[in-house]
Amino acid sequence: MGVEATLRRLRDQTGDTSLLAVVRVGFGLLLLNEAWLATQQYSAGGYFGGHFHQPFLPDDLVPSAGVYQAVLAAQWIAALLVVAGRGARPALLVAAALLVYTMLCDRLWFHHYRHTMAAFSTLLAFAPCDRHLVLGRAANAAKAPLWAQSAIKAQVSVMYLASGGSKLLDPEWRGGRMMLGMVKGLSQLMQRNHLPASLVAAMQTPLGGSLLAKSAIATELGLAFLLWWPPTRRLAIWVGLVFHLVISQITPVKLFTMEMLLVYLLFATPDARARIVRYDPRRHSFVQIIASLDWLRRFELAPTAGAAFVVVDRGGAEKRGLGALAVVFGALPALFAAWPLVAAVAAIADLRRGSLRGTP
Amino acid sequence: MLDLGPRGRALLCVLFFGSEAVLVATAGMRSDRSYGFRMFPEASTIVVHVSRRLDGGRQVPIEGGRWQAHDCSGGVHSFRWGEMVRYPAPGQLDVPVGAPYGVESEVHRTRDALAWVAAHTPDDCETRALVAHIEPRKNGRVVDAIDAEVMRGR
Repeated sequence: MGVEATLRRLRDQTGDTSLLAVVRVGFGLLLLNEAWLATQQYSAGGYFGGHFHQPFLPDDLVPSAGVYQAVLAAQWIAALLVVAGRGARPALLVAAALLVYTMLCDRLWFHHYRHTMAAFSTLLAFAPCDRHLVLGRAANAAKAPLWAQSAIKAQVSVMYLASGGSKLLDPEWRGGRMMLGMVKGLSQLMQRNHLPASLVAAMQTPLGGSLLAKSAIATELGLAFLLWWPPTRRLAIWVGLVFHLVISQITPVKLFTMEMLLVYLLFATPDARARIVRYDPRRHSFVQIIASLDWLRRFELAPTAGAAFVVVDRGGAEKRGLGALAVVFGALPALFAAWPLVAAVAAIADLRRGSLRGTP
Repeated sequence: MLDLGPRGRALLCVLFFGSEAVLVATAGMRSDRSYGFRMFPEASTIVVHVSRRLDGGRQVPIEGGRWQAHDCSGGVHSFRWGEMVRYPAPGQLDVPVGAPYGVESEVHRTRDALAWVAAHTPDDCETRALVAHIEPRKNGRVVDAIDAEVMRGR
């Protein structure tokens, strides 16, 4: 398919909007956290204009203490509306604008995660993210345009390209010097986060720093493309998940990880109830765990007395035993981190069974 | 209004990603490389030493982040650097402070902080200028020290 045809398809695509609603609620909670952080800073440290601040904007456009209080109130209201789903899309735009405005009023308030939050909130405002999970309103299951969901995914790729590209062009970064310095500076935090001391020590060697740097660059640049390509998408999502979880373990960066994991949901194929779990409700009580973790509504439960535990995957293939578990781990967000391990064990077991069957 | 038609969708994407491309391409022109998605640009630190230049050119270091000075009527006032300049700006003097957005950004912040303090200490009638001696370590490597001076308005 040509580039123009692909762009047209992405522009005109429609589909299920329930994932967008989950992402909206997640960003609403993150925006609430931002409002809380700003309020806490105001109560503990006073109005930012009362001490050194570094405005990008002319002084006349920096709010007075009174106006800033109104800005804080607006941040709270917008975030609450986003979570509730009422007026959520205009509220997302307002919340993004306020985030950018406050960062322009004081560059000390700038953080990549805030910029990222503003960018994702802006694009999310143009997506039909207010059809599910709305306070006091029934869900609207009708298909709706998903072009803005694709724009959010494109934003993820832009970020990886810009971040990975800038690191690649910086000789100190790609050589590992920056990584070495960062690991040294954060070694205590890493040990507090239960990383083995030997691993932390290995990361502080020139070879360790160099390998980490090159891996990070390759991961970012690779993810920018592999998240889009259906054959590699699931593995790329797993690599990205691990990448961001590792970052949150070795650095103080937590909110950025949450943002990225939220938007990763949008890379999941929208296929509600496309898999079937057949089971005996008297013998297979563990299916309740699957049901409780099935936040993306990926499984249709088919209880039948006396049935064997079988999972029918998206392609219609019946899986039993480890193969069935691999389908479950690959489809549930909470278990997804362990999916490659379970899938590898299932594949090895399949191979062994195949070779045993082939033995004369 | 937020449910765009096909033309609106294309226009919004061009505007959004076009602006973003400009911001990414020009990030190097901003001291903190902001809005360019340059995550973890450096693992650097700086040590800032600030002193006051008095009448006659004598330089007196600010120790422990505090100093005392007379106002123009002869009254004595105490000043605390850390109360006026706070994290993530270099709020602590004479000790290494992190420069997560790079040395250039932290030096820029220090210069602007000097200017802000100089402009917001009207009760200090003795100090003619604030002088900073900045010792950066870029990614753990010592680089040339930087001096900055901001004259106080009278």
